[in-house]
Amino acid sequence: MSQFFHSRLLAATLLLSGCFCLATSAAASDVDAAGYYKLRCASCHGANGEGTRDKSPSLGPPLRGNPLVINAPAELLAKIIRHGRGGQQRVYDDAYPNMPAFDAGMVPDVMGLATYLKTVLQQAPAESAATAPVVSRRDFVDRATVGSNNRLSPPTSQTKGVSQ
Amino acid sequence: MIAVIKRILVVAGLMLGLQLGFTSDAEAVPAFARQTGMNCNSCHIGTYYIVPNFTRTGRLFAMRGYQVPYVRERLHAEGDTGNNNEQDKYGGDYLALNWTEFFSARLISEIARGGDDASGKSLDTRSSPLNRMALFFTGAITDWLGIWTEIGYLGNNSLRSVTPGRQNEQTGVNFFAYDEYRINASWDFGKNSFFGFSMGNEHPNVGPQFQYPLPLPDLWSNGQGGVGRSMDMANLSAFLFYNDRWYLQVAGVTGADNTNWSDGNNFYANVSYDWFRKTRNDLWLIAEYYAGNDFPSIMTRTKDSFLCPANCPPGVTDQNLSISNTPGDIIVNAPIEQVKDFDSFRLSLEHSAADRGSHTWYAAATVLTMTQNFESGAKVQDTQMGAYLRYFYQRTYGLEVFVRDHLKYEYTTPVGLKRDTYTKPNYGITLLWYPAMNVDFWLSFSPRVQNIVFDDQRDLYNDKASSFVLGFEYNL
Repeated sequence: MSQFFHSRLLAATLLLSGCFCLATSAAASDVDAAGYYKLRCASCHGANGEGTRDKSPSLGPPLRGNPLVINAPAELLAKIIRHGRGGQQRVYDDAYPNMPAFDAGMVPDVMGLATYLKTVLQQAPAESAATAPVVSRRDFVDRATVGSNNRLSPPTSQTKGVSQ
Repeated sequence: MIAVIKRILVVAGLMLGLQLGFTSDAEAVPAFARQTGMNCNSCHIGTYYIVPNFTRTGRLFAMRGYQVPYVRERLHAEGDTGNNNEQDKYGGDYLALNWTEFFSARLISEIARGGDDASGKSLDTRSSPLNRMALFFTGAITDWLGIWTEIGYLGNNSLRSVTPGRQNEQTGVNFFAYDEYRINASWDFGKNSFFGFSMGNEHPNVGPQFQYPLPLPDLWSNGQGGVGRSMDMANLSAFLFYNDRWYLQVAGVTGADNTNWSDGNNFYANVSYDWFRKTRNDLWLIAEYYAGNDFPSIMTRTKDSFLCPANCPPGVTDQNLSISNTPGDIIVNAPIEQVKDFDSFRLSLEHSAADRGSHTWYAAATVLTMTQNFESGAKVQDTQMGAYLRYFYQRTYGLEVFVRDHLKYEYTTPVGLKRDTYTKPNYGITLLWYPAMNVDFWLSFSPRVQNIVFDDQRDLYNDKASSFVLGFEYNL
C-alpha cells in the first residue's frame, strides 16, 4: 500500500512538475519573443507592429495585419529574420531601407520570434486599437524578383480585417 | 608616369584578386549602425573619402538630428535604463546605451600619391600611411535631441596644395584639432513631418547634408572647426520638414571664418522639394540662398594658414602649409579686395537610387552663382556649374566621376573695367572597391590641375600638372 501510494505520489508529482515546466517554458518563450521583438524589431516596425511609415525617416512596414506575416509559414519569417531583406529581395514600397540580418547572437530563438509575429503581435493591444495601422495595397507589392516561396498572398478579406 | 600607372594597376589587380578571400556581406557597424541596428547601406551610397552620399533614409536621419522612432523601445527592452524607468522624472535613458555605441573612428591612408608638376615632369610617388584620422562621438541624447562631433587628425602631406608645382608637397606638420560640432533638436508634428533647431560650427547646409557631394562647386563651406582648410564659424538654424516632401531652413551665420556676430553676419535660406520619395528613386530639388556682409573675397587668398598665424614651427611656413581660407577659386594676380556685401544662389538636383537590382547610384548637378561687392566699388561675379555621379555595382565595385566649370568668372574694377578670366573645366575619375561596407580602396585621377588667370594674362595659365592617389579608408 505504502509502495503503491508512494509510486502514485511520485507519478503525480512528476506529472504536475512537467505541466508546470511546460507552462513556465511557454511563458518564458513568450516573454523572450516579446523582448526580442522590442529589442530587434520595434525600432523599425513600431512598438506594436504598426510600422513607421508615418514617421520620418520611415524604417519598416507594418507587421501587424501584414498578409505575409499572417499567411507565410513561420519558417519563412525565420529565414527573413536571419538573412534580412536587401536589394531585390525587398518587396515593400521603397520608402524603407534594407532590412538587416539578425544572426543567432542577435535573435537566439528565431522560430519563437517568428511565431510571436504571427500570433501575439497580431492581437491589437486594447489601448492602441484606435491607432491600429491601416495597411494599404501598395505596402504589399508582389514582385517577380522575389522567389516563389517568398511571394505574398494578396490581402484577403480576413487579412484586411486584421488591421482595422 | 606610365610606369607608375602600370604599377598601380598591378596593385589594383592584386587587390581585386584578394577580394576572393573577403566575404562581401560583412556587417559594418559604426556608431549609427550600432545605435539603430541598421547597416551602413541603409543610409549611405558609399562613404569614399569622407563624402557620405545619402539615401533618403540617411538624409532624413541626418536632417532631424540622428534620432529614429522607437529607439527608446529598444532601450527599455534591454532592461534597466539607468534611471529605473522613471524617465518622466529624470530622463537620460540613452545613457543605457554602451558608450561605444556612440563612438566611431575613421582612418584614411594614401598608399601612393604622385603625378606631374606644373612643367609636366613626374613627381616622386609618396605614401602617407596615416593621412587622415577622425574620432566621432555622435548619436541621440534624448528622443528629440542629437549630437554630431568630430575630432580630426591630419597627417603629414595631407594638406596638399592644388597650386601648380606644389601638389605633392609635404606639409611638415601633424596635428589634432576639433573639427565639427552640431547639435540638433527636432520634434514630430503630424504625419511624416518634423521641425527643429540646430547649432554648429559649419555652414548651415550641413544640417540636411546638402553640401555634398564635395566635388561639385561650393563657395560657401569655408568654415568648420579647426581641421582642414577652414576656420571656425557658427550657425543657428531653424528647420522644418513637412508632409514627407518639403524641407525649409533659415539660419544665421557669423561669417565664413569667424564666430563673431558683431562684425557682420550672413543669412541662409533653403527651400527643397523631394520627388518620388523612395529608397530606389529619390529626387531632391534644392534651392539655396546665402547673403550677407561677412565673407572673404572669393578671388584672392586671404590667409594661407591659421595654424601658425604668428610663429610657425621650424621648417614650416604659411606658404608650404598651403592651407587657404579662400572659399572660392583664386585668380592669379587678383587684387586684394574687402567684401562689402555678397549675394549667392545655388540650385541643385540630387538623385539617389539604392539597390536597384545590382545597381546603386547617386547623381547630382548644381548651378551656383555669387556676386561680391567690394568696398573699393569693384565687384566679382562667379557662376559655376557641375555634375557628379557615384555608381556601384552590387555595392562593391564603384565609379565616381565629376566635371565642373566656370560659366562666368568676371572681375569689374572700381572704374568699371571688366576683366574676364580663363580656365578650363575641372574633372576627375575615381575607381572604388568596397570589400566590406565600411572599408574601401580607391584609385583616383585628376588629369588636369590648373590655375585661373585673367583673360589678359593668359601666358600665366598652366594646366600641365596632374595627380593620382591610391588610397584606403576604414570606418570603425
